[in-house]
Amino acid sequence: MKNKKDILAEAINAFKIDSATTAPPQETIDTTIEKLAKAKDKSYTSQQRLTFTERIVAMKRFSKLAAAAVIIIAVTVSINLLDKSIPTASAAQVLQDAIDAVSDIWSVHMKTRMRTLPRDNFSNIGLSYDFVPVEMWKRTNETGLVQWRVEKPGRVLVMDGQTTIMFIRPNYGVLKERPLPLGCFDSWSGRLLNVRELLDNELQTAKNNPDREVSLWHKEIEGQDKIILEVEVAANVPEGDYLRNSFITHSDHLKVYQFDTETKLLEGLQVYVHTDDKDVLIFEITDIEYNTEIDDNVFALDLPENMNWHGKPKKLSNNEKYQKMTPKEAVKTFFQACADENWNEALKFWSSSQIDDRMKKYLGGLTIISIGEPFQSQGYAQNGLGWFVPYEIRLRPVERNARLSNENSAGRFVITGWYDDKMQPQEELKWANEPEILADNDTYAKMSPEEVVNAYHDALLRLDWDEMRKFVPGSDVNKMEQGCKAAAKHNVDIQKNLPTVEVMKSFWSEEHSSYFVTYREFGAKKFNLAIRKDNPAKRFVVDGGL
Amino acid sequence: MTNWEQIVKKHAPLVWQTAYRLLSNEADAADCFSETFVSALEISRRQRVRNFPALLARLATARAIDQLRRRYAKSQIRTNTEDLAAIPSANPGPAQQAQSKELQTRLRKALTKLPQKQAQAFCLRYLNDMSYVQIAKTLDITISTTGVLLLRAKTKLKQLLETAASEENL
Repeated sequence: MKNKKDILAEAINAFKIDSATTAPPQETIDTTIEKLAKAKDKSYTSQQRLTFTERIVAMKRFSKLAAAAVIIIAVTVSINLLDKSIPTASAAQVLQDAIDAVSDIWSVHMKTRMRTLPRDNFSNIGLSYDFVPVEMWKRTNETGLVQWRVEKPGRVLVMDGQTTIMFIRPNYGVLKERPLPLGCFDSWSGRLLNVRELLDNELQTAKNNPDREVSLWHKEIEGQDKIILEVEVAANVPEGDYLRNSFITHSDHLKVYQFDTETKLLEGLQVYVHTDDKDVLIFEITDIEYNTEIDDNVFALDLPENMNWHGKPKKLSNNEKYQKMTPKEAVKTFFQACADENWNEALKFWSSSQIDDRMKKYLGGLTIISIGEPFQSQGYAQNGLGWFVPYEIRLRPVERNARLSNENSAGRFVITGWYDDKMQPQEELKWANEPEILADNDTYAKMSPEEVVNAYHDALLRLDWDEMRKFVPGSDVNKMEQGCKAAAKHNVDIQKNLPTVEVMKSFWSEEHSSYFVTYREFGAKKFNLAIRKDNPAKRFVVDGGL
Repeated sequence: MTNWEQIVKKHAPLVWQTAYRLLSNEADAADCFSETFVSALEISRRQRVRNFPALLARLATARAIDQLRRRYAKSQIRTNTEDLAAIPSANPGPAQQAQSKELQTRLRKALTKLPQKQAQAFCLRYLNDMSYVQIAKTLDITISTTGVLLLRAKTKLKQLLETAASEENL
């Protein structure tokens, strides 16, 4: 069997070689000129054969319904032409059949994966992020009580029939004392559990949007016939919008549904985001089970004792002062409060009952470099109540440790792990292959552990990926490089967000049998703070971007 | 006033090559050739045509693909007659010629299974050697959409060609 790459190229070459005739026979030219002469005298009639696409383009004045009917007929006819073995079908029919097939389901269990961050917003995507598993359950019991759960490693949403909790690990939570519908808290994937509604929305959209590109075809998978429905969806924010491609709905994307031909059940869904040079698989259902027993414990949450609960900002005694603040003033006041470690003041811009110790350690003692001009995104907060405010801050220096080893064939020091100031491991760096013996290996072999840590951070500040690979594993550099490219697309100034480092000392640890280098990291951050004032107190609170 | 006789004579090679490459049959290619120019005339009545080569390439491709769909929908394997009724190939050796013909037939069949725009973009790129910019202008789409259409077309075509090859133990 020919390999994949060759067969298409060969076929194209075969086409090109076999077209030795470059001009039509004279008879054909003469016939054509005759036809044109006749046609010039006639007005356009429906006997003129246009492709289906051209008919739709030409029928601009037709009503949407009529155009939709043509689309459905066009798809119907093309399905018939392609394969006479299947009965007449259309995208609308496939969707209707699938809706009917799920009409009596009482439980759904979906396993999916999504390019997102484990603890971030459920709908947030990143084209260069790794896949994160998202698992979901929904159950309706005999009395009609609906319960559901949507979970990824760092964030869980549970509705037990009476209350709804969003739990962000390790200890942050939002409690609503009522059952919220699927899709709450931006859980884009959660909406998929309402399979019937999902398909019905798709069906209605197909009928109401004749311009939407849809294609339908059969595919054999492991000996079984499947129906594949592809639907193109346009982004709901314009090109250049800050949140473009940060959420599925804010991207031009393709949904690929898979249905079983026999049972008509939805079996899979893939979502691809379109970029300039490729389609990126951003979401995929990897498994769906219908009508299986789901344990009651799935709809219960084990919460830690030190929960930090989100609360809507309450009206302060001097609320008016904060209400009147412009976005820029609010951000400046917030960051100044952090700089002064005035946590009571900072809390006025916070959307939970307390600022946890981790955040205090991160933000406390910062230095404000600049606050930029606020801007808005069409995809963020309604009624103009949400803003993004550019900021640049320098964080309080943090002490860290790097673990190094020169026990390799190149005989030079490389970094094998990162530790915090208390010598607690933060990250192991796995060298899949031995460090390379470099062309100028002697120079690097002579470097002390302190010089290596300095050289690595210098290379990082320059975004010199090749130089960085001499000190840390290539796979780590690759991830950083991808992350930087993704951030650059969101106009994040990467180099302004990289820390500078002051190496302090090196030492041998008997406990770890390794060399360590202690250094001080002067973190910087240049990004956009998301703030919104759609709350009862009508004052700006921080919503993200830290 | 447009001189259609002149347009036909000037663009005949382009339209003929496009049609013949896809249909590999003089009679079908001749039909496609005429229909392409007649459609161009109708379009020119509704709007000003700025780029005749692009329009004609698009129309010829679309018509040829439509004709291929009709051909294969009749569920008769025509490889023995229509696809082989061709001018001698430049390939040396009868075995290689036969293989080349087989691949052409498979690619034609596979093209009919693509959505219209994907098939058009593919043909304009790989049979008419148009650039992404030219294809985008011809099909009235963005350059990035052109890239997406081509990527998907190639992926699907490779899949179909491999399946066909494995079924026939090529």
